[in-house]
Amino acid sequence: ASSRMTRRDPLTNKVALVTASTDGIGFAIARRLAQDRAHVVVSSRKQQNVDQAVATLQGEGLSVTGTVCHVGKAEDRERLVAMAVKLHGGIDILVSNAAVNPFFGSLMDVTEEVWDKTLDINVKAPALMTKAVVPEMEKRGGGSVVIVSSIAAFSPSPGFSPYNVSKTALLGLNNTLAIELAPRNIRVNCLHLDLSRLASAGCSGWTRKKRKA
Amino acid sequence: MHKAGLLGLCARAWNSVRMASSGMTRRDPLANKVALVTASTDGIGFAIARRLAQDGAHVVVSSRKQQNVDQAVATLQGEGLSVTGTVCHVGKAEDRERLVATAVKLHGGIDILVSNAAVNPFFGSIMDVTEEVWDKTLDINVKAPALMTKAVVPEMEKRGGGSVVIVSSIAAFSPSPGFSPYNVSKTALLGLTKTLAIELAPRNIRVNCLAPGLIKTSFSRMLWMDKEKEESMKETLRIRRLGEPEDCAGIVSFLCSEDASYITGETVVVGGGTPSRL
Repeated sequence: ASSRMTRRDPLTNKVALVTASTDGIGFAIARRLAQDRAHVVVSSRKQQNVDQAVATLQGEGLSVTGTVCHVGKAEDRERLVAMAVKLHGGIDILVSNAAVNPFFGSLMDVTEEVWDKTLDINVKAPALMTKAVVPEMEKRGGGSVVIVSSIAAFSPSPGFSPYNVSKTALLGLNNTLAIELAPRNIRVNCLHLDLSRLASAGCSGWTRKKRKA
Repeated sequence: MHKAGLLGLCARAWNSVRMASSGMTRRDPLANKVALVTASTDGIGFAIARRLAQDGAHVVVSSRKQQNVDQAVATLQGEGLSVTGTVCHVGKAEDRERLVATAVKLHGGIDILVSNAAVNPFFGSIMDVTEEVWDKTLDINVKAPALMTKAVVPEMEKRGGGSVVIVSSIAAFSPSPGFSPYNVSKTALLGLTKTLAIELAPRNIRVNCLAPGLIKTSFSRMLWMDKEKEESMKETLRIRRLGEPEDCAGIVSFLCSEDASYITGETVVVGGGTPSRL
């Protein structure tokens, strides 16, 4: 009996935060977690994107709420956590998907500011977002963190120097967090996405088609 | 057109040196090369600077502290080596620029950069890591090597090419418990090595990475000064002794030399057999 229930609703009553989840990969993840019965809190830097994503997913009968969150801002991270706890009593899942890629071109043109922005959002923020949810996960007896990286971590995309480096750093973050948090019954895993596949017409079409339906 | 011609001439000079001087290469593989080594007045950096100079390079050592620079230069000059030095805090743009300018002024150019500077400002639970700790660690350990490389590239191009070695750590592969930001910054250097190697290969500049395991230095003292801890660390090694700074020096000299002219984008682990897989 539990086997069938697990297959049908594997995330029943789990509370999931997904950053940058009103479009693309983050949206697809949020939708799927909700379909698998999690209570999902979506987030984006823009209120209108949050509103649209929440309306779409609620329209499909899913348990989804949302809030604005710029993951680079401490107060926004804290608000995201507080909202999930207020609405659902705790947090079980974090999918850290927010990332920026503010530069394309030659290494010789990369400024300190570009490095700062990229490392802030792509490396520091996932680390600090995880730090923010850990106490809440411990109260629930454990949890699961998924950090979204990229195939660029292993095979750098030409012209995206800072982005490539930040994604490789997430492999190190994944390992170091997994070691540190295992004793707290919190698992940490990393997802490596092939951007070229996302860019393909088929994948884009699928994503858009599903969203409209 | 003029610039391309000039570069072609330099490239031909490199080729003729490579073809003509197998004997010379073996004895003084870095003869007349100019090498910058950051954080090179102690430990691994010092051992590397010394070895590059022994292999014939003109070496510019650097450290954040003038007295350390003075002492290192005096020691190495006392051994008859061609070494000068300057203060350089790699996190400061003006210091990076001065380091480059010093090398160009003294030796007419730059062929080699060994980026060794690093900080490890925190030990403890990730739950206690502040934004400031993350900033400092990523600034010195990731941004600075990238920006230092950016600063030397134009000078290397003028010489027809060059070689960069970025010093990472075994912690890039096997995180050291309690060193979260440091671990992450060292993993980032593996990515930096690959991305720079791709970008700079067309400019005839090779970029490789050294990942030292547990080497007996003041920097890593916390990990080995306690006898019990030292024995515990040895359990993970296949070569049952702690590494010495000199163990890192020869491989760096090789990576900088023409003998490594077909190697770029690689990471070499000097870890006594410690498991290393990303």
